[in-house]
Amino acid sequence: MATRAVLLPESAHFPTANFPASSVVNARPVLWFDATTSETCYWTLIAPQGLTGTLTVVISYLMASATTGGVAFDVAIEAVTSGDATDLDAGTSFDTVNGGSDSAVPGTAGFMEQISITLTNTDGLAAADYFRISLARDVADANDTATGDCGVLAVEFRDGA
Amino acid sequence: MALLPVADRTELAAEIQRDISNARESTAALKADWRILVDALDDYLDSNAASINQAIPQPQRSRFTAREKALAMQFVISRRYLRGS
Repeated sequence: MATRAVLLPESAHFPTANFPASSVVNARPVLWFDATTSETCYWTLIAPQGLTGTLTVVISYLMASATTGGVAFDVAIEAVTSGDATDLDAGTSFDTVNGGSDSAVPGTAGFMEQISITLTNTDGLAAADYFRISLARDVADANDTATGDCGVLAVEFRDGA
Repeated sequence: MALLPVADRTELAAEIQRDISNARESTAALKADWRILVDALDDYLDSNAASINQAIPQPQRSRFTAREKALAMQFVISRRYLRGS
């Protein structure tokens, strides 16, 4: 297993509506995902050479207030290979989302915990592809029971090398 | 006044959670708990609006509008339960 990218709040891109609020906690950048409105952000990358095996993302998060309950996230990949018939100007082509959750948030608000999500739907991602990772809190998921904002501190992108 | 519409109750539960998050107040309550709390309080106020109104003596009861009485109630509740929290 190898770390292929580390995605930070400052490098995220946002849709025109329903995106997480960007702020800091003690000078640490964080993206706050609402508990009731599904909010989304993106990271854009080039798939690194040598990318191989099972892909996973590890989300480092903290809760603003909740000390009980769980949180759930959806991760989606949009991969574009050179010459693909994908009109980037006209729309998106994300693969089916990959869901994951943490059934128990830290018992103290502000403590950091990590969620690992295996990406079974990768949109055929291969080395050198231009690709985006979409991250959204799955507020409708049965496991997303925790009150209030969930703050994402970083996302690690791993492969099976 | 009738019960609040479902959309209003849903939005209130969301607003309360945002307020708590912005204040960084710890809570052991779950998301669903806030909606149950909002529903129960709105149900109670709907059922007991007349008796709350009756608690205000005359002639003040008749001098104040419903909005003015609701505003006063909001201030009293805030002072009783939210001061210093």
